[in-house]
Amino acid sequence: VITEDDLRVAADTIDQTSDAELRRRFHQLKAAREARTQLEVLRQQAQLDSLELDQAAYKLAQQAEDDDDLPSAAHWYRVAAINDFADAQLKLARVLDALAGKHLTKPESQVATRQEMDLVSEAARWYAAAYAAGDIEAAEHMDNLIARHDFTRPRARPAPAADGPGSGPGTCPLGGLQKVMRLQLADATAHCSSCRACQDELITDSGGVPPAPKTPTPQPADHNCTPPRLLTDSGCTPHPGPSQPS
Amino acid sequence: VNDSHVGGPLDRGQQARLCLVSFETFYKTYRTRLVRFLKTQASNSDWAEDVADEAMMAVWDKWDELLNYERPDSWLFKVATRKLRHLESRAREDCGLHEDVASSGSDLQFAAVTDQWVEVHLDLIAAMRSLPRRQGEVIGLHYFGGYTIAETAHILGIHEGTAKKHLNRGLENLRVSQGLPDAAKRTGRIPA
Repeated sequence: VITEDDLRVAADTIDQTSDAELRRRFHQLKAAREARTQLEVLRQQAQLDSLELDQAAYKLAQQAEDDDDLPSAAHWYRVAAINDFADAQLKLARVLDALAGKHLTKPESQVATRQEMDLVSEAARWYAAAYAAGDIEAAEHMDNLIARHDFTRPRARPAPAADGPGSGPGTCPLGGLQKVMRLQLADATAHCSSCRACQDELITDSGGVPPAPKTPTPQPADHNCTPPRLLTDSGCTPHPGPSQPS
Repeated sequence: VNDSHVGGPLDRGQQARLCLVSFETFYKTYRTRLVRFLKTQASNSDWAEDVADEAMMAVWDKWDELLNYERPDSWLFKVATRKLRHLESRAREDCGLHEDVASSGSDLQFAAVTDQWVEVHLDLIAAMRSLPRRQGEVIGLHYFGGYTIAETAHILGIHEGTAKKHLNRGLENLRVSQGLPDAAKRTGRIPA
């Protein structure tokens, strides 16, 4: 068992060494200092300056965080965290966590999902680094982060275009994939081959794999019944997707 | 945990000022303490020696400016600690840092051959090295550097409350640490 007394005993004798040894070391240092080239002097000065930069970056990050400028805060905390400065790793993870949290309420899109995943994975990496450095609360934060960002959760749908179908670039002139899927197969295929909006929707909604055409299932006469979804039918992870063509 | 084992700020400040008569006096006063403090933090004792020399060189280069500092020694410890962490971060990125107990143990065996203080406190140093970095730094600066908790927090760039938290957690971890296995304690030093 190591106690504070052991630390004090070790501290009491930490300076003990022979004068001859110290003199020898000092002369070695003096010789090394005099033998330095100009380049080495500059390199050492640059290294010293970079130590100061860590602290400056940390302060900038704190200021940006106070101003609620989280992307800037993340940038500057990252500069300090890479060099293991103070608790910059934990602070960086918290900021990235907050940035990822903003995606929870954003409409679904491939780009948004990718950004969220990147932020979550980077935040988790820095939480792990902070934990290893001694910030044990980082473990709890990481657990919460992972629990919050379940990538199989249903997401908010993109807001509909204000001016109706076909009103601008990136929107389907026929009103979206759901309406296109009600067309004849040949027409729907021809349309999707040239409509970027439908292609995006198809890829996003089907998790990257276009749904295979299925034989229409006879539907009960009850019109209140919601038609089954393609991916759910095939046993995949539940995910909001296009309705089955009737 | 308190600052009772650390002398009064006046005493320590006075001692620090007395060392400023020349760089050589400063060097002889702090070099051994700095190297041994670094040996409790680094996973490689050679790095501790190198970093201590580089930090001392930086002090020498900056000597005239440091004469105006309240505590030039705390600047020395700050620079040395950050240099060591920079070096380790780079090595960690390149997967060239061996932080496991076995590597640290064998490194300590070698260090103990040339440094009697390391040999006498082998278990303590091994336990210090096994601590998370921030906890080791706070304990090292407080007990071996002789700094108050407030000074330690200032050197590390953290809040005083955070420093206290790391100190308490570090002391708890030291109490349950196992030290080095017996086999690793055979240092090869010839008994007196």
